[in-house]
Amino acid sequence: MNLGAGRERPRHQWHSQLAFAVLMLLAMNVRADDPAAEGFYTEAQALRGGQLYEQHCIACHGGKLEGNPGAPLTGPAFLGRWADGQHTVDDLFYVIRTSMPYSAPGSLSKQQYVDVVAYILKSNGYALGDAELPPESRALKKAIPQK
Amino acid sequence: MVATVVMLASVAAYAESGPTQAELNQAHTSTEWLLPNHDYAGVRFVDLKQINIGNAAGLRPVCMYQGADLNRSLNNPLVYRGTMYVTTTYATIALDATTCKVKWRHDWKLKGKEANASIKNRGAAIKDGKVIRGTQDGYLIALDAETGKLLWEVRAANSDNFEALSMTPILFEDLVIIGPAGSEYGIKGWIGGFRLQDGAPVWKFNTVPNEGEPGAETWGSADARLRGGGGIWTTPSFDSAKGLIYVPVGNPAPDFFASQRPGTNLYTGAMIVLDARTGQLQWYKQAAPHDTHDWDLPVVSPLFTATMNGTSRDVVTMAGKDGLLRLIDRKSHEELYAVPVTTRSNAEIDPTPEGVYTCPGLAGGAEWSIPAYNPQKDLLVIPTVDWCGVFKTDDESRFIAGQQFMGGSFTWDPVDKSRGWLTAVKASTGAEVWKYQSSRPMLAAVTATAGDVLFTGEVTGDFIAVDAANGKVLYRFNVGAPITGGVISYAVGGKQYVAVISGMAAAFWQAPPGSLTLVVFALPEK
Repeated sequence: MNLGAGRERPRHQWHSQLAFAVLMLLAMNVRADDPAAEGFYTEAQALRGGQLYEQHCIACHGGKLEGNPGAPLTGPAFLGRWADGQHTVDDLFYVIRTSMPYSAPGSLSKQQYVDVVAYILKSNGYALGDAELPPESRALKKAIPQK
Repeated sequence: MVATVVMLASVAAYAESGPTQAELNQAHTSTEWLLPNHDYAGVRFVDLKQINIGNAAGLRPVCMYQGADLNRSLNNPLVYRGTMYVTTTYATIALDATTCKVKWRHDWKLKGKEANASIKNRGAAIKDGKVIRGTQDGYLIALDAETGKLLWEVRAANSDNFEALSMTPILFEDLVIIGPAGSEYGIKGWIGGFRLQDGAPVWKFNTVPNEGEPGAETWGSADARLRGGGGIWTTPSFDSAKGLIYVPVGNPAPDFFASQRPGTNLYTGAMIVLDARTGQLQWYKQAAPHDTHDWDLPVVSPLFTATMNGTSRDVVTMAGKDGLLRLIDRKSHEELYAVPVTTRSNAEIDPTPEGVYTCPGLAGGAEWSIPAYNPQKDLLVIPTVDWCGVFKTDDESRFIAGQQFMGGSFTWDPVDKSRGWLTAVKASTGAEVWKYQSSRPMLAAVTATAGDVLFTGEVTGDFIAVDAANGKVLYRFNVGAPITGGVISYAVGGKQYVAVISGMAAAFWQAPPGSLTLVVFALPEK
């Protein structure tokens, strides 16, 4: 077998295929590094989180997540603190699950806490996705996208 | 420490304005209020008896000032030559101490990052015509006491690293002594001396030591020291004759996840005694070695002389969020007594992942208001919190910039189970004389007077005048907002007044909201 035998592809076709592959890789990379590109929670999850928010959080953080006396969970104050490229979704999950609700920290399940995180992300305009945020820290290590 | 000094005006012209060093040294005899706790020793006793147990029920408000500031109201006002100086988180205000008429107001515009949302301001200090205070963004500033004009500003603390200057500075000779709060945010604490003339740094003492400094070996690792806490947020006491400053150091961090910092964690939870001129450590007494409950040591006042078993002893009072009132001999450093001044239960048990129900809870114990000492009655009177709950450790301890670095959580008992105490003990023995129970934690300052009336306030908003002999309430007036800051008494033009600061309390106290409000009381004219 002549290993060197074979029909050579036209150069322009090879180039266009390479460009397509690069674009595909870039697209995959965006999905891998930027959860906002595809969303990272579902509508149903955010809905559950919103119900929990009303039960456990609204008294301190307000009906519009505006804060007072608790910290604001929307707007520039929230995004400035959390969407700075330094904080992960898991950081937000960690703070909420270990310190909230203020009167009974740690009293919800991890699933409930991550649902509340989904509701907060939705309230800040992050895109919906096809899959729910899982309640495991390891799976939440993505930075909260800057806005 | 960032040595950026900006001189905004000539300071020479202000050098002859008071209070002078001599006046501050004699503040314990003053019938005004020159220092946050009345005098350097923090005795909080004023030699006035126009208001006494026979007429205190006749007190009436004479004027009121609303600062329009919904931040916390924690400061002790100062009164000098008839002018009162109060602070809010951002503003410094001078008022007529008898009419509440504003003379000037200075509003600090943030120049740097606000260190964090929860630390506020606890008051200013005054000397040589300058009003000195710290800010949320780490600046130390000097204002002209007559006009409120900014004289100088120094970026003394690193607010990018969550250091906030909230404590009332101590002024001595040409020094401003101040350090940053922020233990819960993982600062590495220090206290420093800065020049009163221009704010230039003079000395610095690390309350969490650097590598190679004494005490560094009590942390287990350099990493543990890096965010070890040891912030300072309450007022030191000061022995002006010896030039020694007694500094209360806050808790270690992470607060509950203590396995991350094996050892006694010097100098957190300790009273450190420094040479005020050099910052050199003279001795220390640690109330909470390897603290696991966020039980800071906020109280290291008053200094006084007690007669114990026929022997005269120079002593310092120490009280912490652990709920113990201690008396320490300043020469031998011996603990003379330690008595509980709130409920204590499971206090020696460290938090666990399952949780440990413990008293005191996260809020102590003794908080930022020091005991008042009535030398006429050999009486120490201390306000405390009584609010238990469950301490838990988390499954990990994670430092997240800008978030509280606790490594655990605290679940409060329902608010209706919270209460407070005003406890009077015989100063020379620690024996309880009487106790007053409040329906909520007691946080306001207490002032003792020669009229044997004590003045203080409650989180309910009630200003109260109390008979020092038995704790009986002689007068009660609701000022409309929680009282968690200063309550002082002074005389202007031969008339005795009482000033009460009220306003917003931190959210976790679950008190009604309020704007900073100053109410001045006096007896009606005959």
